[in-house]
Amino acid sequence: MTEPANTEARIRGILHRVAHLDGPYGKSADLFRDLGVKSMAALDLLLSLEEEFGVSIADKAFGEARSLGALVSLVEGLR
Amino acid sequence: MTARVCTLVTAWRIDPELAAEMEKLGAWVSSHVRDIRVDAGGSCVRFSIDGDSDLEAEHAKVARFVADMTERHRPLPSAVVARRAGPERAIQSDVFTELVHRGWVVETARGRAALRGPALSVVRALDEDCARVARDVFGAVDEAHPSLASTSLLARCGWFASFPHAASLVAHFAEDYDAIDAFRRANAHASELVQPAPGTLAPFDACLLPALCYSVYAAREATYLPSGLTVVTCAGRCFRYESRNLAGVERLWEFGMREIVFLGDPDAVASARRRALDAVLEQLERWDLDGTFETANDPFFAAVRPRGAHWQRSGERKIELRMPVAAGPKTVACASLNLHDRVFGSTFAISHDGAPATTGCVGWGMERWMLACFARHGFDPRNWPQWLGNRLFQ
Repeated sequence: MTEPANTEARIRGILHRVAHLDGPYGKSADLFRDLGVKSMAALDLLLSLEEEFGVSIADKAFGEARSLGALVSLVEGLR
Repeated sequence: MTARVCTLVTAWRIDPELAAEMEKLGAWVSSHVRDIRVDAGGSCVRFSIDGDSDLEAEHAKVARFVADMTERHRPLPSAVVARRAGPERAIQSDVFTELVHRGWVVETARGRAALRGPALSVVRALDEDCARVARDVFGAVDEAHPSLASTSLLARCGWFASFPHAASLVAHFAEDYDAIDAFRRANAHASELVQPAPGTLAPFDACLLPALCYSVYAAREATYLPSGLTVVTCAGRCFRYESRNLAGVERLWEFGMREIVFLGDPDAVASARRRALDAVLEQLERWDLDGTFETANDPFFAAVRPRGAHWQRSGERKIELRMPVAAGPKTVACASLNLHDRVFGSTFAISHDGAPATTGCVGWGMERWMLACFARHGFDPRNWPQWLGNRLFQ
């Protein structure tokens, strides 16, 4: 598995855990608008990403990364 | 027995903004715990526990409260969005005492106040001014909604999940002749309420509204909005239980509010909030008042506070207009300008251009604004803006 693919799988795991996202969904779908992730889960998602990947994510950058693909790019860019 | 003073050393440094919220929310931790205070360095929390209570259990409760507030806290300090400075004169303190002394405010019970004279006139003038802004700037439609809401409305709005401590549930008896008559007899000669017997009240199905906009959304459930921006305005009474924090007219259980509510697409609602901020700045000019617009968060219950505060602050979803109500650095929120994304559009199936509507609102707190006016302009009509002074002190 390539590194970004591994990152994607790990983020999917986090989304499953903190936002109960299951089943197939595209990398470009808006997590909050299209997939119904509750806004109150955003902090759990942010903190879980930081813990899982050992990175520090700026709140503004996190706020702009609203899809799985964007989160993968964000995390990869910080590692 | 005398109270026991306790100290809790925290694993994280508590920043001043979080400390202020913690001290306020600490009122709800326990009726046996008092004066939860964060020390100046933010490294420990001090509080006192009534001597006749279970010290270990109460201490553990405070520890859970502090952990909930701090463990997932992500500092996002308030940012100043705009500011307006008032006249050079000093801000007056003890305004509430003077208002009571003059008979313009009557504290009928803690957290409840009757207004008359110029204090009432200020509130009426403010409401008219806000309604004019709603009408002239936004072309708002006027609506009236009852203060008594269904509990299901607030449940669906997430109020009980986010602000259970502030809820004001309304009770009534279950239909039972004998139980009601027993209550009547117990209270026949009482000057204080003799509480109803356990089990005689019906399950709560009504509550008092903590904010007006919820009714505006519920009234549009399962509807399609016209294209463009929908703007509604309403005024009414709001209710937020404040426990030991109740203080004069600065922190009331029941207070007056005027709201302007926006529904439409995300860009239109965000743009409307920007225009509303400009309109409130102009209002500060007309009223010659000081005010600072700052990013903020609502007083979420401690267990959900980190998530709620982060959501609001990271997206600048809540901007408060903070005004001084006494000399010194302290200010209170007298208005707020809020964005809710699609939370209420989704909850109430309000459609706009084929998607759940985005919503936002502006709300004014009537009594606090009145207090800020007297703190700023005092009790001499000559110090008030002429258009206002002429009207208030006739």
